[in-house]
Amino acid sequence: MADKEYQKLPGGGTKRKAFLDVTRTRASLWMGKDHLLYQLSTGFTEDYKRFYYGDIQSIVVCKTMRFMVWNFVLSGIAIFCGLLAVALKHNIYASPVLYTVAFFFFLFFGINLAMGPTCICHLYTQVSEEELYSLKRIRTARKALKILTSRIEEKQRVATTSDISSSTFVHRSGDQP
Amino acid sequence: MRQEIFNRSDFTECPSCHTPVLVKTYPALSQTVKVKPAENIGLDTEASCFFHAQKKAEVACSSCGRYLCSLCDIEFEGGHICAACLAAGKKKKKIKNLETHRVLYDSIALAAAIIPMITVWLTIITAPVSIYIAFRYFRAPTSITGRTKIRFILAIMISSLQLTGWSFLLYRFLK
Repeated sequence: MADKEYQKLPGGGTKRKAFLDVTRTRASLWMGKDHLLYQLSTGFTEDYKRFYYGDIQSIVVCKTMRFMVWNFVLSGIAIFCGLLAVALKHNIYASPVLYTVAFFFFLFFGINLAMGPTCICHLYTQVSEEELYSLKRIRTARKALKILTSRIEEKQRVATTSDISSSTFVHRSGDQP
Repeated sequence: MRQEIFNRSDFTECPSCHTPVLVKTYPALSQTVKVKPAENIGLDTEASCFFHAQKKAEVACSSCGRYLCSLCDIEFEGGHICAACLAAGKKKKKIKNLETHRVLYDSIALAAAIIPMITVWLTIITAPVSIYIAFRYFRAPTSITGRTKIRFILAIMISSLQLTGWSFLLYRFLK
Protein backbone atom coordinates (compact mmCIF):
# COMPACT_ATOMS: atom_id res chain seq x y z
CA MET A 1 0.00 0.00 0.00
CA ALA A 2 1.34 3.40 -0.99
CA ASP A 3 2.15 5.88 1.77
CA LYS A 4 -0.37 8.62 2.28
CA GLU A 5 0.81 12.11 1.43
CA TYR A 6 -0.53 13.52 4.69
CA GLN A 7 -0.67 11.99 8.14
CA LYS A 8 -3.21 13.29 10.59
CA LEU A 9 -1.99 14.75 13.84
CA PRO A 10 -3.97 14.13 17.02
CA GLY A 11 -6.73 16.60 17.75
CA GLY A 12 -9.71 18.15 16.12
CA GLY A 13 -11.90 21.04 17.03
CA THR A 14 -14.25 23.65 15.74
CA LYS A 15 -13.52 27.23 14.96
CA ARG A 16 -16.38 29.41 16.12
CA LYS A 17 -16.71 33.15 15.91
CA ALA A 18 -19.15 33.27 18.81
CA PHE A 19 -20.58 30.90 21.42
CA LEU A 20 -23.91 30.56 19.63
CA ASP A 21 -22.45 30.63 16.12
CA VAL A 22 -24.22 28.04 13.98
CA THR A 23 -21.63 28.01 11.21
CA ARG A 24 -18.85 25.83 12.50
CA THR A 25 -15.59 25.15 10.80
CA ARG A 26 -13.80 21.96 11.70
CA ALA A 27 -10.06 22.33 12.13
CA SER A 28 -7.44 19.62 11.84
CA LEU A 29 -3.69 19.34 11.43
CA TRP A 30 -1.95 17.15 8.89
CA MET A 31 1.72 16.41 8.53
CA GLY A 32 3.09 16.56 5.03
CA LYS A 33 6.56 15.75 3.74
CA ASP A 34 7.91 19.26 4.17
CA HIS A 35 5.02 21.20 5.65
CA LEU A 36 2.27 21.18 8.20
CA LEU A 37 -1.18 21.49 6.67
CA TYR A 38 -3.82 23.30 8.67
CA GLN A 39 -7.19 22.28 7.33
CA LEU A 40 -10.40 24.18 7.99
CA SER A 41 -13.43 22.31 6.76
CA THR A 42 -17.07 23.36 6.62
CA GLY A 43 -18.09 19.88 5.46
CA PHE A 44 -18.60 20.93 1.86
CA THR A 45 -15.51 23.08 1.36
CA GLU A 46 -12.01 22.99 2.72
CA ASP A 47 -9.49 25.75 3.22
CA TYR A 48 -5.83 25.10 3.72
CA LYS A 49 -2.89 26.87 5.30
CA ARG A 50 0.61 25.54 4.98
CA PHE A 51 3.41 26.01 7.46
CA TYR A 52 6.74 24.76 6.20
CA TYR A 53 8.72 23.00 8.91
CA GLY A 54 11.71 25.22 8.23
CA ASP A 55 9.66 28.35 8.92
CA ILE A 56 8.07 27.39 12.22
CA GLN A 57 9.71 29.35 15.02
CA SER A 58 7.64 28.36 18.01
CA ILE A 59 4.45 26.79 19.29
CA VAL A 60 2.88 28.21 22.41
CA VAL A 61 0.29 26.36 24.48
CA CYS A 62 -1.68 28.41 27.03
CA LYS A 63 -3.79 26.75 29.68
CA THR A 64 -7.36 28.08 29.81
CA MET A 65 -10.18 28.14 32.36
CA ARG A 66 -12.71 26.62 29.97
CA PHE A 67 -12.26 23.16 31.47
CA MET A 68 -13.12 24.36 34.97
CA VAL A 69 -16.02 26.51 33.77
CA TRP A 70 -17.60 23.57 31.93
CA ASN A 71 -17.04 21.31 34.93
CA PHE A 72 -18.89 23.75 37.18
CA VAL A 73 -21.71 24.28 34.70
CA LEU A 74 -22.26 20.60 33.86
CA SER A 75 -21.92 19.27 37.37
CA GLY A 76 -24.08 22.13 38.70
CA ILE A 77 -26.93 21.35 36.33
CA ALA A 78 -26.60 17.60 36.98
CA ILE A 79 -26.70 18.07 40.76
CA PHE A 80 -29.59 20.52 40.53
CA CYS A 81 -31.64 18.15 38.35
CA GLY A 82 -30.74 15.19 40.56
CA LEU A 83 -31.82 16.97 43.72
CA LEU A 84 -34.99 18.17 42.06
CA ALA A 85 -35.77 14.62 40.96
CA VAL A 86 -35.32 13.38 44.53
CA ALA A 87 -37.55 16.17 45.83
CA LEU A 88 -40.23 15.33 43.26
CA LYS A 89 -39.95 11.58 43.63
CA HIS A 90 -43.72 11.21 44.02
CA ASN A 91 -44.34 12.92 40.71
CA ILE A 92 -44.37 10.06 38.19
CA TYR A 93 -43.85 12.39 35.20
CA ALA A 94 -41.28 14.91 36.40
CA SER A 95 -39.02 12.57 38.34
CA PRO A 96 -37.93 10.24 35.46
CA VAL A 97 -37.40 13.22 33.15
CA LEU A 98 -35.23 14.98 35.71
CA TYR A 99 -33.27 11.80 36.43
CA THR A 100 -32.63 11.41 32.68
CA VAL A 101 -31.50 15.04 32.35
CA ALA A 102 -29.26 14.64 35.40
CA PHE A 103 -27.79 11.44 33.98
CA PHE A 104 -26.93 13.10 30.67
CA PHE A 105 -25.33 16.10 32.35
CA PHE A 106 -23.31 13.77 34.57
CA LEU A 107 -22.26 11.92 31.44
CA PHE A 108 -21.13 15.17 29.75
CA PHE A 109 -19.35 16.14 32.95
CA GLY A 110 -17.57 12.78 32.98
CA ILE A 111 -16.57 13.14 29.33
CA ASN A 112 -15.22 16.64 29.96
CA LEU A 113 -13.33 15.37 32.99
CA ALA A 114 -11.85 12.47 31.02
CA MET A 115 -10.74 14.73 28.16
CA GLY A 116 -8.69 16.79 30.56
CA PRO A 117 -7.71 20.45 30.88
CA THR A 118 -8.18 22.83 27.99
CA CYS A 119 -5.75 25.10 26.22
CA ILE A 120 -5.23 27.51 23.36
CA CYS A 121 -2.43 26.74 20.98
CA HIS A 122 -0.62 29.25 18.76
CA LEU A 123 1.90 28.62 16.03
CA TYR A 124 4.41 31.33 15.18
CA THR A 125 6.54 31.88 12.12
CA GLN A 126 8.64 34.93 11.34
CA VAL A 127 5.75 36.65 9.60
CA SER A 128 2.58 35.03 10.92
CA GLU A 129 0.72 33.81 13.95
CA GLU A 130 -2.02 31.20 13.79
CA GLU A 131 -4.32 29.85 16.44
CA LEU A 132 -4.59 26.08 16.08
CA TYR A 133 -8.22 25.29 16.81
CA SER A 134 -7.62 21.56 16.57
CA LEU A 135 -5.49 21.56 19.71
CA LYS A 136 -7.89 22.50 22.48
CA ARG A 137 -6.93 19.95 25.12
CA ILE A 138 -3.55 19.85 26.81
CA ARG A 139 -3.20 16.10 26.44
CA THR A 140 -3.83 16.28 22.69
CA ALA A 141 -1.58 19.31 22.33
CA ARG A 142 1.26 17.48 24.07
CA LYS A 143 0.84 14.44 21.82
CA ALA A 144 0.78 16.60 18.67
CA LEU A 145 3.75 18.68 19.88
CA LYS A 146 5.80 15.56 20.49
CA ILE A 147 5.25 14.30 16.94
CA LEU A 148 5.63 17.73 15.41
CA THR A 149 8.75 18.72 17.32
CA SER A 150 10.76 15.75 16.12
CA ARG A 151 9.80 16.50 12.51
CA ILE A 152 10.49 20.25 12.76
CA GLU A 153 13.84 19.78 14.49
CA GLU A 154 14.86 17.16 11.97
CA LYS A 155 14.04 19.54 9.09
CA GLN A 156 15.62 22.59 10.70
CA ARG A 157 18.76 20.66 11.57
CA VAL A 158 19.37 19.73 7.95
CA ALA A 159 18.44 23.15 6.64
CA THR A 160 21.32 25.55 6.15
CA THR A 161 21.05 29.11 7.39
CA SER A 162 20.08 30.41 3.97
CA ASP A 163 17.47 27.73 3.51
CA ILE A 164 15.55 28.53 6.66
CA SER A 165 13.02 30.80 5.00
CA SER A 166 13.22 29.27 1.57
CA SER A 167 10.66 26.51 1.82
CA THR A 168 8.36 28.20 -0.64
CA PHE A 169 9.55 31.53 -1.86
CA VAL A 170 13.02 32.99 -1.75
CA HIS A 171 13.82 36.52 -2.70
CA ARG A 172 17.53 36.61 -2.24
CA SER A 173 17.87 40.29 -2.52
CA GLY A 174 16.73 43.09 -0.31
CA ASP A 175 15.85 45.03 -3.49
CA GLN A 176 12.28 45.49 -4.49
CA PRO A 177 11.21 44.14 -7.86
CA MET B 1 8.83 36.79 26.12
CA ARG B 2 11.57 35.81 28.56
CA GLN B 3 13.79 32.99 27.39
CA GLU B 4 13.75 31.14 30.73
CA ILE B 5 10.23 29.90 29.99
CA PHE B 6 11.23 28.43 26.63
CA ASN B 7 11.35 24.66 26.07
CA ARG B 8 10.34 23.63 29.58
CA SER B 9 8.87 20.17 29.95
CA ASP B 10 5.91 21.47 31.92
CA PHE B 11 3.78 24.58 32.10
CA THR B 12 5.33 27.69 33.58
CA GLU B 13 3.73 30.97 34.51
CA CYS B 14 3.92 33.69 31.90
CA PRO B 15 5.85 36.60 33.44
CA SER B 16 3.46 39.05 31.84
CA CYS B 17 -0.09 37.68 32.24
CA HIS B 18 0.62 34.86 34.76
CA THR B 19 -1.17 32.30 32.57
CA PRO B 20 0.40 28.82 32.60
CA VAL B 21 2.16 28.45 29.26
CA LEU B 22 4.21 25.84 27.48
CA VAL B 23 6.54 27.41 24.94
CA LYS B 24 8.30 25.21 22.45
CA THR B 25 10.84 27.02 20.32
CA TYR B 26 12.76 25.78 17.30
CA PRO B 27 16.14 26.73 15.77
CA ALA B 28 14.41 28.96 13.17
CA LEU B 29 13.66 31.43 15.95
CA SER B 30 17.30 32.28 16.50
CA GLN B 31 18.61 31.81 12.98
CA THR B 32 19.15 34.78 10.76
CA VAL B 33 18.37 34.70 7.09
CA LYS B 34 21.29 35.60 4.88
CA VAL B 35 20.21 36.93 1.52
CA LYS B 36 22.31 37.09 -1.59
CA PRO B 37 21.92 40.42 -3.41
CA ALA B 38 21.07 40.48 -7.10
CA GLU B 39 24.20 41.42 -9.06
CA ASN B 40 24.25 44.14 -11.70
CA ILE B 41 25.48 43.32 -15.19
CA GLY B 42 29.19 44.05 -15.56
CA LEU B 43 29.82 43.11 -19.18
CA ASP B 44 27.62 43.49 -22.25
CA THR B 45 28.03 39.81 -23.02
CA GLU B 46 26.40 38.70 -19.77
CA ALA B 47 22.80 37.54 -19.88
CA SER B 48 20.31 39.77 -18.14
CA CYS B 49 17.19 39.02 -16.20
CA PHE B 50 13.93 39.03 -18.19
CA PHE B 51 12.23 41.25 -15.63
CA HIS B 52 15.21 43.42 -14.65
CA ALA B 53 17.41 44.36 -17.60
CA GLN B 54 20.20 45.71 -15.34
CA LYS B 55 20.47 42.55 -13.24
CA LYS B 56 22.61 39.55 -14.08
CA ALA B 57 20.73 36.34 -14.92
CA GLU B 58 21.38 33.53 -12.47
CA VAL B 59 19.02 30.75 -13.56
CA ALA B 60 16.40 30.01 -16.17
CA CYS B 61 12.79 29.42 -15.15
CA SER B 62 12.19 25.69 -15.28
CA SER B 63 8.68 26.31 -16.57
CA CYS B 64 8.90 29.09 -19.19
CA GLY B 65 12.67 29.29 -19.67
CA ARG B 66 12.97 33.02 -18.99
CA TYR B 67 16.27 34.17 -17.51
CA LEU B 68 15.94 35.23 -13.91
CA CYS B 69 18.14 37.22 -11.57
CA SER B 70 18.40 36.10 -7.97
CA LEU B 71 15.71 38.64 -7.11
CA CYS B 72 13.13 37.05 -9.43
CA ASP B 73 14.17 33.45 -8.85
CA ILE B 74 11.69 31.53 -6.72
CA GLU B 75 12.83 28.21 -5.37
CA PHE B 76 9.81 26.00 -5.28
CA GLU B 77 9.65 22.25 -4.73
CA GLY B 78 13.27 21.83 -5.70
CA GLY B 79 13.06 23.88 -8.91
CA HIS B 80 13.44 27.49 -10.00
CA ILE B 81 10.43 29.30 -11.36
CA CYS B 82 9.44 32.89 -12.00
CA ALA B 83 6.59 34.73 -10.29
CA ALA B 84 4.48 34.70 -13.47
CA CYS B 85 4.63 30.90 -13.76
CA LEU B 86 3.90 30.54 -10.06
CA ALA B 87 0.83 32.77 -10.38
CA ALA B 88 -0.30 30.89 -13.50
CA GLY B 89 0.19 27.55 -11.74
CA LYS B 90 -1.90 28.71 -8.83
CA LYS B 91 -4.65 30.06 -11.07
CA LYS B 92 -4.87 26.88 -13.13
CA LYS B 93 -4.53 24.73 -9.99
CA LYS B 94 -1.57 22.92 -11.47
CA ILE B 95 0.55 23.26 -8.36
CA LYS B 96 -1.01 21.24 -5.58
CA ASN B 97 1.00 22.91 -2.83
CA LEU B 98 -0.45 26.31 -3.71
CA GLU B 99 -4.07 25.27 -3.42
CA THR B 100 -5.82 26.92 -0.52
CA HIS B 101 -9.42 25.97 -1.19
CA ARG B 102 -11.31 22.93 -2.44
CA VAL B 103 -14.96 22.11 -2.87
CA LEU B 104 -15.90 18.64 -1.66
CA TYR B 105 -18.33 17.51 -4.32
CA ASP B 106 -18.46 14.00 -2.87
CA SER B 107 -19.81 15.35 0.43
CA ILE B 108 -22.27 17.58 -1.44
CA ALA B 109 -23.56 14.63 -3.47
CA LEU B 110 -23.92 12.47 -0.37
CA ALA B 111 -25.67 15.23 1.57
CA ALA B 112 -28.04 15.77 -1.36
CA ALA B 113 -28.86 12.08 -1.23
CA ILE B 114 -29.30 11.73 2.54
CA ILE B 115 -30.55 14.99 4.10
CA PRO B 116 -33.78 15.32 2.00
CA MET B 117 -34.80 11.84 3.19
CA ILE B 118 -36.14 13.61 6.31
CA THR B 119 -39.00 14.98 4.21
CA VAL B 120 -39.22 11.94 1.87
CA TRP B 121 -41.02 13.82 -0.94
CA LEU B 122 -38.04 16.10 -1.55
CA THR B 123 -35.99 13.13 -2.72
CA ILE B 124 -37.83 13.11 -6.05
CA ILE B 125 -35.94 16.33 -6.86
CA THR B 126 -32.70 15.78 -4.98
CA ALA B 127 -32.00 12.20 -6.07
CA PRO B 128 -31.40 13.14 -9.73
CA VAL B 129 -29.40 16.16 -8.57
CA SER B 130 -27.23 13.96 -6.36
CA ILE B 131 -26.64 11.49 -9.20
CA TYR B 132 -25.78 14.34 -11.56
CA ILE B 133 -23.25 15.83 -9.09
CA ALA B 134 -21.72 12.41 -8.45
CA PHE B 135 -21.20 11.64 -12.14
CA ARG B 136 -20.25 15.19 -13.15
CA TYR B 137 -17.55 15.53 -10.48
CA PHE B 138 -16.49 11.93 -10.06
CA ARG B 139 -13.02 12.67 -11.39
CA ALA B 140 -12.73 16.05 -9.67
CA PRO B 141 -10.18 16.18 -6.85
CA THR B 142 -11.66 15.77 -3.39
CA SER B 143 -9.93 16.57 -0.11
CA ILE B 144 -6.21 17.28 -0.39
CA THR B 145 -5.53 15.00 2.55
CA GLY B 146 -6.66 11.98 0.60
CA ARG B 147 -10.12 10.49 0.31
CA THR B 148 -11.63 7.59 -1.51
CA LYS B 149 -14.57 7.88 -3.90
CA ILE B 150 -16.83 6.03 -1.48
CA ARG B 151 -19.06 9.07 -0.88
CA PHE B 152 -19.76 9.38 -4.59
CA ILE B 153 -20.57 5.66 -4.80
CA LEU B 154 -22.84 5.82 -1.75
CA ALA B 155 -24.59 8.91 -3.14
CA ILE B 156 -25.24 7.12 -6.45
CA MET B 157 -26.50 4.00 -4.68
CA ILE B 158 -28.81 5.84 -2.27
CA SER B 159 -30.17 8.15 -4.96
CA SER B 160 -30.72 5.21 -7.31
CA LEU B 161 -32.69 3.42 -4.61
CA GLN B 162 -34.78 6.54 -4.05
CA LEU B 163 -35.50 6.86 -7.77
CA THR B 164 -36.37 3.18 -7.95
CA GLY B 165 -38.80 3.67 -5.09
CA TRP B 166 -40.41 6.67 -6.77
CA SER B 167 -40.66 4.79 -10.07
CA PHE B 168 -42.35 1.87 -8.32
CA LEU B 169 -44.81 4.23 -6.60
CA LEU B 170 -45.56 6.02 -9.86
CA TYR B 171 -46.10 2.69 -11.62
CA ARG B 172 -48.49 1.54 -8.90
CA PHE B 173 -50.30 4.87 -8.97
CA LEU B 174 -50.77 4.84 -12.75
CA LYS B 175 -51.77 1.18 -12.74
